[in-house]
Amino acid sequence: MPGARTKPKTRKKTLPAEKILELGRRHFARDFPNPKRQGCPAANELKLLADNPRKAKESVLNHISTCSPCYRDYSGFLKAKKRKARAKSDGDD
Amino acid sequence: MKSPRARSGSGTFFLSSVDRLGRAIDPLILAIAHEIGPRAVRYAERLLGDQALALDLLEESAAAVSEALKRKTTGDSGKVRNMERYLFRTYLRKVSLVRGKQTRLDKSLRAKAPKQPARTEFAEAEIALLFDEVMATYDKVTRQIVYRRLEGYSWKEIGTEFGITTHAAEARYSRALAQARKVLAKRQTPD
Repeated sequence: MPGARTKPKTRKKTLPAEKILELGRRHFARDFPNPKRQGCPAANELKLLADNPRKAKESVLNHISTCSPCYRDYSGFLKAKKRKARAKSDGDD
Repeated sequence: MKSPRARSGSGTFFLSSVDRLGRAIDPLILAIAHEIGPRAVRYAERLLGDQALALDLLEESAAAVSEALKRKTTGDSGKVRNMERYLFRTYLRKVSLVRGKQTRLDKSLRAKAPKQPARTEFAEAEIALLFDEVMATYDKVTRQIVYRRLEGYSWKEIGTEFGITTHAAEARYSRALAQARKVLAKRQTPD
């Protein structure tokens, strides 16, 4: 109805993007302990997933979403790759 | 019926002739209560943080003193030498009892507080579910974009690695998270 007062919408507060990323990182790195490393792929497969994402196996990708030790290894490979790439681009400049 | 009360801060206030438990207050004691009231209530209010409670306790004290006075006049126990002081002491005893209860309650609430999940814990659980949903439903490229984003890769770096534009990389990530949020919201409110 024109002129009718509508109830103001209450917007749910969302977390800042940086906080979401931090919580996501922590979730994958801590919430799936696998002390016996059951079903874990070899380290070179995790490295391959980090270095050449298109060639990596889907099963490895599925595994790291439910295994914190593998996620931490994969995260280490990704960080190393990022450092290398940034060092290279800094050297090129 | 209780008479209306004025604020003690204004200097005058009225006490009822019956306390909240229905006990009658002797007119003499009521007059004394009115006399000591402003000072006593101000003191109790500071301790309890509630003026209404302070006034209620004064009425209760006056009623208790009235009953005690009645017993003393009919029985053979000793007389009250200073009625004003007697009422004030009774009042202070009641105030300290209530104050003690409040302190114990505050203490127990504080002790229980850490056991309840904090707001941040709820947020953490929500975010965990969100990323799990993305990992369970999205394609290989989107999942790897999410992992790279978690590790602090820029959109440009992600785009280069997958041969897509920075905008496309960002769009894939945002779409995946938004879609997962929708799915989770639907699951929480099935109707």
